[in-house]
Amino acid sequence: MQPSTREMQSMGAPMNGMPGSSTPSSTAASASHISLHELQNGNGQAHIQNPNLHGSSSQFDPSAASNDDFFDQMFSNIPSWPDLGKSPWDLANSAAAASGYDESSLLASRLRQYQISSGDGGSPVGKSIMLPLSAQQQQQLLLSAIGGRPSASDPDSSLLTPLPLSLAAAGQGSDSDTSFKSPNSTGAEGLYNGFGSGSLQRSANQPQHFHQAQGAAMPQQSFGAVPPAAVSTPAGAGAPAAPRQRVRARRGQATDPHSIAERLRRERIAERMKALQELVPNANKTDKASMLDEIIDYVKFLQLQVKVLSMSRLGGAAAVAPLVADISSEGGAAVGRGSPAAAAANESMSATEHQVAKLMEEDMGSAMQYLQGKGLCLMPISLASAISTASCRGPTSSLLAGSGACAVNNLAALIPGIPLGGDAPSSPSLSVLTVQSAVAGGCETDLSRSSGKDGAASVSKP
Amino acid sequence: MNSKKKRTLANPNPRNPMQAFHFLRSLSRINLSTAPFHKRCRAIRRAAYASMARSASPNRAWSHAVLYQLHRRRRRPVPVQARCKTHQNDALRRLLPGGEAMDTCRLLEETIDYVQRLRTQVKLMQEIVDSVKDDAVHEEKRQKEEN
Repeated sequence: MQPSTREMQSMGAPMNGMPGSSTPSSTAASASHISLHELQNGNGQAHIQNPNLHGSSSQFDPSAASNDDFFDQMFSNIPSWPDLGKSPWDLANSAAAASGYDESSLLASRLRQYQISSGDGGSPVGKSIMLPLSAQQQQQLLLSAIGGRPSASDPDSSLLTPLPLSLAAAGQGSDSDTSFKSPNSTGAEGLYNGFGSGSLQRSANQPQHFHQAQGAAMPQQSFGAVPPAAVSTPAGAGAPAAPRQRVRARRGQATDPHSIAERLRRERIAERMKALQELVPNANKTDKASMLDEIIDYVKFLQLQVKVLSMSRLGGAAAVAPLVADISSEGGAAVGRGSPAAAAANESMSATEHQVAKLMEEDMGSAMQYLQGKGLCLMPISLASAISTASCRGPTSSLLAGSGACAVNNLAALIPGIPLGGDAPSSPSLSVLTVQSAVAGGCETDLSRSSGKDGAASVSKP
Repeated sequence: MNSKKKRTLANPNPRNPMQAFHFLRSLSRINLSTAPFHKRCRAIRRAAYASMARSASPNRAWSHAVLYQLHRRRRRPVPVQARCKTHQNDALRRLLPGGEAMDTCRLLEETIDYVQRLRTQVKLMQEIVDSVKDDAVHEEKRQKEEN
């Protein structure tokens, strides 16, 4: 499967009809594995399958003769329905081990698994059955089936029936190997008429998937990464009408527990990426890689900002004006003092405020310590209002409004010199009013924001 | 006052008060101490991260990592997850505290939470700085007027 390997590695470079030696090298197989992983991780570009199809179909002719024994091995290895649940790797490996096509079959099986998982949703068994079949193998099977390998009684044959039909149908559409296709198509149709399995309908609906399934050899683990993008199915080479039920997974669905888990994982990651996109600015990138870059840059930027602010904050803090806030009400939950009644808050606050004012006249440090002992801390009104508006819920905001406003009012009255967030300090009543209105307005805004998802709401000053 | 009020935290989240509370408390404690400048810088930065971590939901791994690091003052050796999706994820892992030992899905979750808290922390500190600056400016004006 040299061409398929190369095609995998080229990640989508169309290499139609790439002739390659039928004997795959181990390096090619490993490289294909690696490229498969890359496919799974990064791109999931399924159109790679197209070249695979062509390449594999072109390989059929020279390798026809030697494939029969391999075909027999495949069939012998394919277990009955219940056993199909075992890992397709084992199937593929066991089947491939004896023949010289081990890597190619592995690749093919993986690819088909990949494609199948993205194809019709079918029974899990059927999917695993399809695994060991590569495009080549399918061609061989079809040919041998046409050549008189009637296994209609075998349940597996029903699987293979749709395969040849779809292959034939798809093959007719593709460029490769028309000569080869013509006998196959007739044989496939005959087989199809003979078996008429239910899965045939699925295959008929999505011959494309099947093409891809045959040509692509994606690892089984890459199911989740299968994009819903159309993958051209391998051309022609009608699969042998081996009695194998072909169940193609619907696009975007998986029929294997591994792939389902993978798909779930991918979906969750996509959700998170979307959430991050909203958080991070400049999130207009659609590419996941660039989005990750943006996220990383943004996190670095935020961390740098914290660092810088911590340095500048020191300079300001040294000469800090008193910060006023009622932390108990801000804390939210167990608010002992923050009773909803403003009067109660008033009374409880006034004594403290008097005390704090007294302390502040003497020494800021002692005032701060006193407040801290009470579980309070000082902050500018603007900060308090900002925090409350940003984070308030109904009850919390009212608490903060009551106590904060009262605190501000009283303190402002006591210490008119305190600059209140840029306002003229000579009008404490005004500042109180603004705080109250700010808080109230902020809460309303916040409520509306939470309901209306208005992230940029600002508090309006009356 | 208008500009200040307008500068509201865009994230209407109840955890903001807790974060502010922790940060301000530790900040005031730091300011009262008489440590040299750069040590206070670092202390403030540590306080910022500690407040972020403390106000985080308990199921957030990065908060534990942050607190652990701050407590021990050293990077704990973490096992690197064997599976590596892309090299970009590794960069993100290094950025996020405790992000080495997570799988991709969880890493993104933690990143979301971390970014939110970082943003609120930055806004918080910005507000403080600005208000303090304004206060200082007003204080100067007032003193000048008095003199």
